[in-house]
Amino acid sequence: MRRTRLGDALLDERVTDGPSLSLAYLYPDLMNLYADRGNVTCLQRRCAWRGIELRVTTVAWGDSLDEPQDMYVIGGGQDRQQRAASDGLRHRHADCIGRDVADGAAMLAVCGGYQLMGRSYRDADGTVMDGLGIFDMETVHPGADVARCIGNIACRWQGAHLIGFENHGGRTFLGAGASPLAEVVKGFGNNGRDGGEGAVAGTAVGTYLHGSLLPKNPHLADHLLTMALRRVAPEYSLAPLDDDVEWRAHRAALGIAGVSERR
Amino acid sequence: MQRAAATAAGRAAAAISRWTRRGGGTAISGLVAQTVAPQYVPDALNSLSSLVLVSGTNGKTTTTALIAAALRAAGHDVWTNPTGSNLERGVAAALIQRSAWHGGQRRERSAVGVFELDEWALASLLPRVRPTLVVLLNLFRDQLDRYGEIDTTAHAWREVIAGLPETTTVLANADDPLVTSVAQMHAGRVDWFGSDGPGEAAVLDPWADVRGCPRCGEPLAYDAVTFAHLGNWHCPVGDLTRPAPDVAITAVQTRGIDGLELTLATDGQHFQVEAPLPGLYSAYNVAAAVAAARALGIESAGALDAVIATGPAFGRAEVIESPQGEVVILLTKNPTSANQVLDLLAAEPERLDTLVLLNDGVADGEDVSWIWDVEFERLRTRRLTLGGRRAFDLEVRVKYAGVRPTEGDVDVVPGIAEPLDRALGRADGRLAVIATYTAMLAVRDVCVARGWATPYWTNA
Ligand SMILES: [Zn+2]
Repeated sequence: MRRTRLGDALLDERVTDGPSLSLAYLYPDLMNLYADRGNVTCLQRRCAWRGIELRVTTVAWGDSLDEPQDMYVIGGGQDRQQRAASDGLRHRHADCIGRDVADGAAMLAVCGGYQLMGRSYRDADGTVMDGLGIFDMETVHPGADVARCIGNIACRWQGAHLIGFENHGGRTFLGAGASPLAEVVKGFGNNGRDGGEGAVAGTAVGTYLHGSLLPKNPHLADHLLTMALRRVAPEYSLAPLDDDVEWRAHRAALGIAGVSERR
Repeated sequence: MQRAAATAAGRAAAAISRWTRRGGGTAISGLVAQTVAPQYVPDALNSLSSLVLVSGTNGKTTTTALIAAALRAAGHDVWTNPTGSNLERGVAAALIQRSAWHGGQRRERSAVGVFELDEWALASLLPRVRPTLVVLLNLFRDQLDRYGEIDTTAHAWREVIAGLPETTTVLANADDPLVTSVAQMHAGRVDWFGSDGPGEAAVLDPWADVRGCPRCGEPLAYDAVTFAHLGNWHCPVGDLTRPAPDVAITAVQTRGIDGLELTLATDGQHFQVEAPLPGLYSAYNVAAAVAAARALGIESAGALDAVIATGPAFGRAEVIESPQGEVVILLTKNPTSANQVLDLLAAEPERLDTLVLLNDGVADGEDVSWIWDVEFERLRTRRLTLGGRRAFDLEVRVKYAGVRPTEGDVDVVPGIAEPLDRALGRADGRLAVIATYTAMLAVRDVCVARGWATPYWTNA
């Protein structure tokens, strides 16, 4: 049993004496299947607690996006919405996303959004969607009759763990131009076979860990912020936060996934 | 003969289950009966004098109870599954409970069946039965790891609704565009319930599940939003239109946890209702029940009297008296129901103490990501205690929402009995318990073990 005082850190959230970052949240109206917007909430708070201004622009399917961005976030969606998102990405937003990511903007692409950042995605019906090719990878859905990859997932990342939940039909295979983000300890990851989970290409991160990924993995949240800040304010170093609450949830979730912290 | 054997075997299993105190025996007996005779459920349902099936993501148990009450008030012998055991085996168990020992043909012929079914149990059972009335309440995102996407559910529903005999009446929620697209597949009579009053806003919340037209995919336009994706919608292309409700909610006034006042309009008449059922979502359940009664030929005034007299179903704003004060149990299953419950608490004249219990069992959804679509930013509470198997996930969510109880610190205690005791120990007056499905059952079990409540299988 334990008592915590919550919310104190929020009192001074309007003080923004630090650097300023821009974040484009892509298609929240189409791609928020697993409450993926929790990742944006997490980044907003972690910036506010440090006095960093994070300007979030929600980009709808039909919106134009010309301003360069420091960060991109995209979540997962239902099949039909994913098809629309694929269309919007290629016809309206491919240029700015490609330009900014090549220039060092950080990206977090989750689940369906992750699949669309590869070269291509063949869905359960056999429809092939071209992706943006941020990651050198292809995703194939083996068909509606084949079991989905569902469950708690834990993996190793930079000497620590990432913990989350995955629920995807598609199997992703990386090419030579992309590296896996992490190594699966428990769960399926990219394809349930090669032990890889997610992908990294420069400052872009893709993963099947969905929904509340960043709140329970504060080290990954700060890793994304650090990458975004490197370009904007190279001298600035991210102040540590009191993450007791986050790590307690992280450890509890690892335990529920059947993974012990010492490994 | 096979059916009599199934009934007998199921009864024996139920008796053993109750005797060993493993539970109400509701699902066990059904499972046994189904194994002995797979045709047991459809055969028994088809021999009832009329059959009402209720499905949807939220509100099934309450609406089923309300329709049953209206039918009883009209003098019918009603068979129902009142404990929320809404898979086929739960229906089987309820049938066994009511059947005479040897199968009970004679009694069934005069009885009316009102059964709730979960979304996939409805899709699986519908092709094998001939219902009088099918009630489709709503479709919300719910336990994606178990049920999958709601587009997939809607697709399955469209297929089975299109296959219904024309003699069946379908009653559907006109305010839900996805449900509308399902009900319009029916070749026979379709009745509608919905709202006619002004909504709160014409913009959908960011967590709303349906945004595009189910037919063409274009973003839907809303003249009014009741909550989630329910409201007065229209497709800008015009290939799908919202039907005019046969029973319409024209005004709603919520009275917090204690209930609501609403006005219903049907067949040119207006009815004022005071129901002991809380929340805007309850208004839809009441409208659905009145519309169901109307479709079954029961006059609306009588149905309404029965509805008014019906308290909440177990675990749905059920009030339990404990020595330390009242415990109000509020079941939440998904972002929509949780956000409705938070609105309910915010509407209370005085802030209540709150206990939130999050479990990750199969019946809760093993994926707890959905709490990030629950607007804890809107939580108004005096003291706050967090529990369940995923108490620490809640703690992170509440931290990022910036929740500030007016009194005391946020107490985080994993489990069920311990956080309940902690919360009751420092509560002042009513304690609101927001709980996922298995947490709701578990917290109720604790109350039963202490003699504060009766087991759910005896108050049915
Ligand atoms: Zn349309």
